[in-house]
Amino acid sequence: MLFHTWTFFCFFAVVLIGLMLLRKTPFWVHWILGSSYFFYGWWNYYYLALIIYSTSLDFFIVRQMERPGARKKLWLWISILNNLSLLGFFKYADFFISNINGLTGLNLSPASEIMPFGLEYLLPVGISFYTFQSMSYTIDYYRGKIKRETSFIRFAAFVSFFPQLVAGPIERAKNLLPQFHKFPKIKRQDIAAGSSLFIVGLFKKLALANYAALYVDRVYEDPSSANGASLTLATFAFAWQIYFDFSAYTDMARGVARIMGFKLSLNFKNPYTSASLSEFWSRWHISLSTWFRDYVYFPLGGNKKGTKRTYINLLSVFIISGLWHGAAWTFLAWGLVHGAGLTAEKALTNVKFTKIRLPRWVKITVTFLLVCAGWIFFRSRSIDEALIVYRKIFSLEWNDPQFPLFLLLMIGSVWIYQLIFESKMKKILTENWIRVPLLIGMIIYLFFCSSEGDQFIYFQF
Amino acid sequence: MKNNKGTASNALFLRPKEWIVILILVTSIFIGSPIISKRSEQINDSNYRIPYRLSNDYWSYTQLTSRLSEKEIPIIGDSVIWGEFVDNNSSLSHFLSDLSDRDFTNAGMNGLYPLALEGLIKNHAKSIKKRKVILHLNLLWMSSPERDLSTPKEQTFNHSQLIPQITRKVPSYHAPIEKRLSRFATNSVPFLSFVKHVKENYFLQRSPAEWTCLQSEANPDQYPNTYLNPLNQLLSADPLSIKDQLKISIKNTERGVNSSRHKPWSGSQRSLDWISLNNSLQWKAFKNLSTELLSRRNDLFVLIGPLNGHMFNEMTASKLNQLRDEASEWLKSMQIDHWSPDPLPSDHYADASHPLTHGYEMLAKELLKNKSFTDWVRPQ
Repeated sequence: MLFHTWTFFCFFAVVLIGLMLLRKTPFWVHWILGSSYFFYGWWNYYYLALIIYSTSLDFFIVRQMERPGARKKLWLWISILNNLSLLGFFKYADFFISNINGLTGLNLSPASEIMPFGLEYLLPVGISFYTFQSMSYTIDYYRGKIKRETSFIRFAAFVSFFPQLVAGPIERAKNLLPQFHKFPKIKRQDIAAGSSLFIVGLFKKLALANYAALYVDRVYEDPSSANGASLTLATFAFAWQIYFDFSAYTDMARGVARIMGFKLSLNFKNPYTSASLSEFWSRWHISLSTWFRDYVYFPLGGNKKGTKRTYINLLSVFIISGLWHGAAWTFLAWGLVHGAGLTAEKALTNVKFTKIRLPRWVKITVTFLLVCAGWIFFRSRSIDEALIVYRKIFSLEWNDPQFPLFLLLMIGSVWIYQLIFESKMKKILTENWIRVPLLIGMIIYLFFCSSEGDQFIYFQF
Repeated sequence: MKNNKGTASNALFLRPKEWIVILILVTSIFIGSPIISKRSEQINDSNYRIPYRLSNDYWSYTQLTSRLSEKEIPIIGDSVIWGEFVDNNSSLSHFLSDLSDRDFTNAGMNGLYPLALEGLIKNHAKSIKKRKVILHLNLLWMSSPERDLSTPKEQTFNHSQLIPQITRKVPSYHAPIEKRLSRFATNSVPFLSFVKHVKENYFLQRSPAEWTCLQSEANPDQYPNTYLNPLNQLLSADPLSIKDQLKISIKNTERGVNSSRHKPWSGSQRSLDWISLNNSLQWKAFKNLSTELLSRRNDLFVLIGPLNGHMFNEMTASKLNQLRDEASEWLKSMQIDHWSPDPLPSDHYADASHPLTHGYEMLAKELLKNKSFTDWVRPQ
């Protein structure tokens, strides 16, 4: 069930009515949990077994950890291994098997052949998100950062809360779990702000991401027959497509949650206004980057164990982050590009010539180009294909790219809007004469966009 | 705004009062834009019929039926009334207007069938009320369980937006719930129907974004709309001419006496697997439609067929006669004026149901000789 569908509107209307009717009873959390499971089961009800299993196990493990004399570390590792095994089997098994077969000449059966009861082997939607969310709960409890949640229903509602279940933001127990303890106060401002977020998200997805996809898909369908100019512009367009697509989902998720009185974390903060790669990662998929920072980078030693170790840690985190996005060498290469970029950025911080003061717009442009260089791996179907794209771009055999002018205008407008938002002129954007006509234009234009069958890119992760 | 500080990635948060302003303005646009557009898209042709390329544009149908003058008599039906093989000046409505002192309007639409026709009239032709209406009954839609859409096997068919999406089950229609809800909304909200019209009429059935990415059929390497502004397309008086220049083909078919398709039927006799009216979904829809039109206080006249009886073997023809009689019986019981003419000569048909130009002319003449029709058509 996608946010931009009529089915979701009907579903959400029922959820809201139910929520309001149950607000004075303790069953409102049960209602949210039931709605979330219904939402998730809408894709495939087999998925429900996995999420219930993962939730139950982590709830049970933390309960065991609390017992006097419990071997906390052992329970923690059971939780981590369990979640990673789930992820590993459903997401990476075929990748590893095909690579092992390729390297050793063995003929190991694909994962689909070992599924029990004839079940179909497919990647459960959102598994990377909810396993990380559930895992963070056990780790935070182990570290003494949070108290144990005593109610299974509340904990299950936290893991499966439908607005953010399938594509984030990955919430921490510290932020979201307490919100299930008391019926949220739904103020008029929450409904207004939630609706604004939802409309902006809807516009990003239907009017911008889907539009950019038309050009990107056309060019990336067969990079070998596309010219350098088309590939360059398609890569720029993809950078925006993936931003629009993913941040749209987050906006809509935050909007839906806000209308219900819940506050979810900010996940994107105008990432293409970043003046360095490290700034980019503090603005892009914030809930995932902070997850990796807190649960991988810091435990590895972060930057506290010397320069060399810091670089290794950075590279490791980004390789893992690349693999989190998908089981393919292209994602690993994408992670490596960012890891190497950040390592270089760190290494150059103390080099004298890099301290020359460059105008911010130059830094923003360079950062954007570096990020785009990474997106080539992310979008390509194979490393070979990515190399073709690079070669073509740098060959300078450029012809008319036939890039839609209207798309250029729309992307350009968004970029200018974000740059103004990040500048001292930000206040102008809060003026009514800007916001109100803009929202009206967006709402009207939305009706002219096509929406049938548009999945979100991040669902595959 | 203060509430959202630190949590926003854009400045588009609105206060409740601003939302109220937006809702009022958006509602005004919802209501106003179809009205403005209606005024700019005038119909000046007395032989006007919904253009073939707008066969799925129900907003145009709404406009056509809402512009009927008091004296005009709409003829409602499928491609037989619309005139599949003939041009605008050779359909039944044209000859009836030409041969009589009354004005008849071609309110047929290509690709319809009774189930879709029911949805079209119920949702998109609400202005047809308290007037004389001719309704065509094409029994060919009951000539097999597949045509009747009563087989459980999934089928792809025209105008699926018009059939009941939620209230009634159509066994051959297996659309997922999302599609049904979307179609239900488009049928129920006039602005959505207007949006569809804009896409159909100005953007070749696409969104403006898709239109700018359209591939030339003549040269697949070219995307001729790349550097065009879709907003200009809306201001264009004749959006089609622009597309012609761009060499983007518009799927259309030749029609009229000079076309290669306009030729008499020839072939061997066939048998058809007629289904009984009691079990027919299409017949049920036709009855619903008739009842709906009567409830709107329309003065209804039903024209049954005539199908090309020369095409059917003896058993098929006899079953067809039986169905005709049953249909007449029901119409009589409802006190609906009707006429079921005998088949036209075989060379007056292009296929099983569609007359050619001289077929329509002959049918019009026959109708104007028919007493029940002349009594009915006479102004009271």
